[in-house]
Amino acid sequence: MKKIIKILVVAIILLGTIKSISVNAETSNFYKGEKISGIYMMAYNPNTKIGIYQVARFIREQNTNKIAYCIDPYDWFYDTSTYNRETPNMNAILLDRIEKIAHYGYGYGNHTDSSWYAVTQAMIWKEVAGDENIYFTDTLNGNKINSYDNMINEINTIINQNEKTPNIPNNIVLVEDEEKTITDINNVLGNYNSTSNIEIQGNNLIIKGLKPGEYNENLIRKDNIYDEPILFYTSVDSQNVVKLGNLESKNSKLNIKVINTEINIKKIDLDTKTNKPSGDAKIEGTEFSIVDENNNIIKSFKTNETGSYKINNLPLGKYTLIEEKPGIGYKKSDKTIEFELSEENNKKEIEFSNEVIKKKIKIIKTYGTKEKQIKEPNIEFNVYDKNNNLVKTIKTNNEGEAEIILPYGNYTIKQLTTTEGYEFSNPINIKVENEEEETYTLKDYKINVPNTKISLKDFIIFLFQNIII
Amino acid sequence: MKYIKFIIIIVMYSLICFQTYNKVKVNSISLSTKIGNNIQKEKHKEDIIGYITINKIGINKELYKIDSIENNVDKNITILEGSDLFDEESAFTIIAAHSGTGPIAYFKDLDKLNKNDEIEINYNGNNYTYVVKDIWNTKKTGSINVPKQNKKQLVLTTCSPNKNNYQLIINSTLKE
Repeated sequence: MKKIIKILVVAIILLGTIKSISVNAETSNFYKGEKISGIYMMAYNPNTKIGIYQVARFIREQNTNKIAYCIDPYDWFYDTSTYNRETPNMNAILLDRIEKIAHYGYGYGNHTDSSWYAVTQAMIWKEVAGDENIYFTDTLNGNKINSYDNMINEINTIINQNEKTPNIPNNIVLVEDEEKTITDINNVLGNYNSTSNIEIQGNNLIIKGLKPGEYNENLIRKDNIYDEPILFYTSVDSQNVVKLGNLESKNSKLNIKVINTEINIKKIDLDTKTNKPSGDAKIEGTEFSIVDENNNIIKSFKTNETGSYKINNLPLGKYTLIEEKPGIGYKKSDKTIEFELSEENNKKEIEFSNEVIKKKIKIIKTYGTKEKQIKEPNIEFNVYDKNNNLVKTIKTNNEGEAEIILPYGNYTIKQLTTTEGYEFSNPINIKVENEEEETYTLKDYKINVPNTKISLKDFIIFLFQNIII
Repeated sequence: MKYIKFIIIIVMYSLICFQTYNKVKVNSISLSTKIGNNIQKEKHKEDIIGYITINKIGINKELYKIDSIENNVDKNITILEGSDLFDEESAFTIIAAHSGTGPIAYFKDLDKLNKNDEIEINYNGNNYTYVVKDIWNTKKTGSINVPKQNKKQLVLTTCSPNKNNYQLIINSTLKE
């Protein structure tokens, strides 16, 4: 007897322990709420071939009246049952689907009419039992109708829409202080919140004012319609339910890298191959534009006194450098230079060459009488620049011709040698402003002159001749 | 001896003539003018084509056709043969006259001209102003060499008053 009593005591203690464990889990109660007039549902069990028909009605939580949905279409629902907060024994995909139907069904957006509840409930049962086995009827146990298909489609559309995450690159590279706007083509970015270094406006992600470095950002889904998450409850003697709440937050991670870019543009003279200009031409003041791939002018600028210009932090991308106006004395170049700035190639040195304006100067040297001029070979001329520096010495050939090609600027040509008995020509001032060839014909005239000296003796004779005569 | 006597006679005669010139003025006409008038009787006024004026040295003298008998250094300021006339494009014109002493030494003060001095030519009713560009002397050889300019050019020449056996050349171009 004592032995039996001991066994009973142990059993009671054990049962108490189990019961106390069960009592510690969150529990709740749910009840059948108000009916939804005019909406009838059928849940057909193909296994038992029994259909359960009913008027649609709300299921609510006791004490809070919060909305809940049954998730076992073929089980009964009892108001007096106790529910434990527990995930039912269903596959994860199905559970996820039920959560989404519940969240985006009744109570989401403008889904405020009671019919949305009935549609949501039907959709949940359809997921569990099969689409063809759960349907609406025109009357209680009446004929199948499709009146609520549009509402079903709408909920499915919203679910599909929200399946998508923002179509934003996970890794974004931009330059210091660049303002970059990225539009989400999935059109869901508006459902997200951002962390501190980025901003969301509608479907646009805006990044601006960041200094060089790396930034790890999160896009956190907004889902705060309710004050608690969606929760499942199970019961040993009643249909399992799911209580309406927020879906689990989905985060997207974003890595932002901010770098510097630098472009050095250098204008060079095509002939000197340096930034030293030919003649009096100037590399300073050459006007350039940089256009992007869409031919938008991004930047216009002029080179400095060394023929260069530096651009910092031009955003990454493909560009074209175009000369708008050459420096003084240079011919405009129609060539363009394409370049690309990327994370790997963020510094560029670009040389742009121009050809200086040049003019051919030809000298034809002759001498002789006015009637007969002879070609004068081997006559030397010195060519000086505006600062009187000797540029070159040229000499006439057998044809009496000498020539020189001079770059833009002012020059003086002076005759250095002459045929004996002939005078030097006056210096020639040359202005090279265009490319039209110029020829200077220098003639020396030999003129016979009479004796024009009259001495005193001559004068006396003159007097004698004129007075006597 | 005969030669010396001849010179003395001539000098005496000249002095007498000059005294007469100083003392006698007939109707406000000086003796030299009278002598000039005698010469002028032979001038062909119809051959005058223009005038040359150089204010700095007091020249204001007519110019004659190149083929005129008056176009002779022994008579007047002379346009040398081969010259272009002033209205021709890039005309090259050479004018000579005597330096030295006497009424026909029209260019006796030519050496007083400097660069940038002006020479006025009146021809066919048009005025041409030339500006002196170069001045030089060259040994007398019976000819001079002058570089041709690509514009209207006027060359004045005479025997150099200062350098014996040299020719003075004044090269000028049309004022722009």
